Amino acid sequence: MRTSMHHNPTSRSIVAIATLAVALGSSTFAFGQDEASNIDSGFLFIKAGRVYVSPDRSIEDGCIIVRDGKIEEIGQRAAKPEGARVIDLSEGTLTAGLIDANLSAEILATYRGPENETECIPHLRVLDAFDAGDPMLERLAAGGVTTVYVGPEPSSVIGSQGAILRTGGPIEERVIHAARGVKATIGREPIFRDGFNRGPFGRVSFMTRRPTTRMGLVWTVRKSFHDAHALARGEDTGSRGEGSPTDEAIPILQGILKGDVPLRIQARQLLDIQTAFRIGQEFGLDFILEEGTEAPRCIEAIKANNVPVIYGPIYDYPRGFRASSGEVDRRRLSGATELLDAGVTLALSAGDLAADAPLAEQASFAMRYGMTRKQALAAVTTTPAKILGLGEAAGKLERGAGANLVLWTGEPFEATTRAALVIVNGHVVFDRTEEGETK
Amino acid sequence: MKHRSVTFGIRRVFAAATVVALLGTSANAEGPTFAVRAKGYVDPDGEVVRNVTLLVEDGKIKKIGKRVRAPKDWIVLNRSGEYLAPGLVEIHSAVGAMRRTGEAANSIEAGADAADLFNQYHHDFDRAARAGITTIVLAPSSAHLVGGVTAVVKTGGSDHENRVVSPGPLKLSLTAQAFAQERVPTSLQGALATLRDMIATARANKDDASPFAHWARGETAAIVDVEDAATLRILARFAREHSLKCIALHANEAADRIEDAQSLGMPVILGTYEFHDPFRYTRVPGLLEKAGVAVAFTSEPPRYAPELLRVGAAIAMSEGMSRKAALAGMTSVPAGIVGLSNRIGSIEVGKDADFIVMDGDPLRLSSRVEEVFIGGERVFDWKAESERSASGVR
Repeated sequence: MRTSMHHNPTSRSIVAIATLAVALGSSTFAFGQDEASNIDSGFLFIKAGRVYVSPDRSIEDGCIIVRDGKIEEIGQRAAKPEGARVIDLSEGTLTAGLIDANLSAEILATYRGPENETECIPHLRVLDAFDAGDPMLERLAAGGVTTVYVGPEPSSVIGSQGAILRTGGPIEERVIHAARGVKATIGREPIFRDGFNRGPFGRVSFMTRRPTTRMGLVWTVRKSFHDAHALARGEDTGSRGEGSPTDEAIPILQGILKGDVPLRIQARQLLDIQTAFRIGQEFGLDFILEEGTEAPRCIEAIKANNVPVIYGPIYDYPRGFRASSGEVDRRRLSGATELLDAGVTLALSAGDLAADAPLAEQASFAMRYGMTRKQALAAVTTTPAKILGLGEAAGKLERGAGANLVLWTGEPFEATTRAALVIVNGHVVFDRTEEGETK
Repeated sequence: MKHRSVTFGIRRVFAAATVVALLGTSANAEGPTFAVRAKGYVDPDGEVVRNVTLLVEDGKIKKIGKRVRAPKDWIVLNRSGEYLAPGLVEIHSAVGAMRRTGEAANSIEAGADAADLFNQYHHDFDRAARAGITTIVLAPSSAHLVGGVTAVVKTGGSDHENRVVSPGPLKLSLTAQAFAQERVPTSLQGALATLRDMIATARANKDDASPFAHWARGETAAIVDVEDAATLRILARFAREHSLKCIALHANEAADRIEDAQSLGMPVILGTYEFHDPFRYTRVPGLLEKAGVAVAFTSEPPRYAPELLRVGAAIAMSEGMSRKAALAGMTSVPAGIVGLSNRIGSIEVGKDADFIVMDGDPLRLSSRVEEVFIGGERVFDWKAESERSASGVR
């Protein structure tokens, strides 16, 4: 039952090239997974050269038994149970399914875009605007990602609530949280997009939004929380005036102030990160920092404010708005490692980067620039699980817990390694083992 | 000049209908009363029963069967070479609409009524009748999140004032068309947040007897335009979340979303089908039938030809749908959606005498609609029309 294709280095490199070719050359690669998602043999005995039970603990030549969607047994020498499908990959490794804590809804094929009514729309749900069975999610699953936080793109100053989803399995089991956490953006992106949504020759229409300057943007954030805060204390804000949050937005903003609704702030430049701290201090807000390109420049402040960072994406050269705005001119490839080494709570995210195994690629990048495998594994499993509040068992392989796991063809995050088998909540959603491939 | 001649032609059709109505009226009944002897009729199960006689009294079906005999003084129409089929029901149209079918200013027009927006004298009604359609559901446009209440209308009959039979279900739209306007909401997520608020308000206020409130409380169904597969899934989740009854419209892309259509627990409306439609659309009716989901077809006149209603059912049949379900998709299923199963949708005793006379099976596209009767009144006569056009008189 050994997967014969990985016996020698030559066949391994052929496989790597073939993977690359498939990944680059064909969009059917993603859609082809539809059939794989129907494979659901249920009862599995998987043996691997190394099992990463958690980022800190691994078992050499370990095995794992998955039955009825749960991890039934995990250890070094479990007996092969009767009737189980056996998958033996002695040069492979097993890890928990990866968790991307900041996927941008914008990369989903079925996403329908933001609301242009106002700049402050925390009462809206991004889950209302896409299909939980989006083909991109299945593509992510094929890259080893089993859980994602899908947030809105940074087009609104205070955007809609994100959703936590599984990337595969039956549709009705996919939504873990329909609305969890609000994303605010401090930076030039909402301004840029607002300018962009003007008509030809700068025609101002109903769709054209404010603010149009950075100070207007910060004012919108402050005004929103100020009004919510004042109303919560029973103060009469009178006629709240233009640019104030709508009545529907107020309860959610008050939830953020009380700490019931997690707040996430996307900020790239030092100035924007410091503005986020200032607003946080003014209103007593805890928040999660998203992207944080220049966060390595203010490590002490991040530690002092106890702010978790969902860092990334990491890339060689920026594209799109990042490139044209100059917001990421001071990016550092070693930034994530610097933050982690200083003791900051840090998760890696591929954000809006579309690739075939984007999160594993992020971990790979991080390792190239100094992160240990242990740190990288934690940054894509246990840490994002903790930031998202998914519970103690999430991001690890634990007996009795729901099976979210990836069997890799080699050490995780190596350039030559890819996912061979992905299980989401007990369902085999991707299968490239010998048996799976011939199906 | 052209306009005048068209009007004249319509008058001729109505005049012919009135003559039949007068001939068919017996002394003690008010509506048309007569008998039809036919080669066969399409029964409620879609089967053809041979050699039957149909008795129409006061515009209703009194009797139908092999051993039925017409009373002595009744006029008997001899159609022994033809078949009788139930009048077709078109579930989503804007026939007779005067310009736009919705106010542009607001996306939510829950109080709008499609009965107010059409001209009952419009020649498109004659065109629909010519295609065998006897009942039509007029719907507000899909450019509105909540478009208003649909209206169920007969396509012919001399009594124009009473053409509106009843109000139909509420119409909603989650399509891009509803959001690309200069008004709120501008997005699907904004739309669903707005609906959530409106539903909560309607549920809190039990006295609210508006059509929207009834739908919001799960008491009635609404037709919801979903446009594509992703929106169908989003609607399915939203309907589950709030226990709403939603009839998905334009679910043509549902081939790999059958379970979502199933989870709505309601009929689904498909169309408009044309011959160039890809297999992934045309196999959907058959797949839904297998999954136990009722299908209604639409041809959406006047945007598309009303004849496409029969074309849609025939294409669906050629791609795997059963004959019974294909026929039901043009008759009993849409009749059920508008809550008029007791009056229309099949040739059965007690129902309205809405039927068509055809020279063959209604599901064969070569079969001709020869005559159309609504409430026992003949509103279309192919022979008379072709003779008129042969003589150059229109």
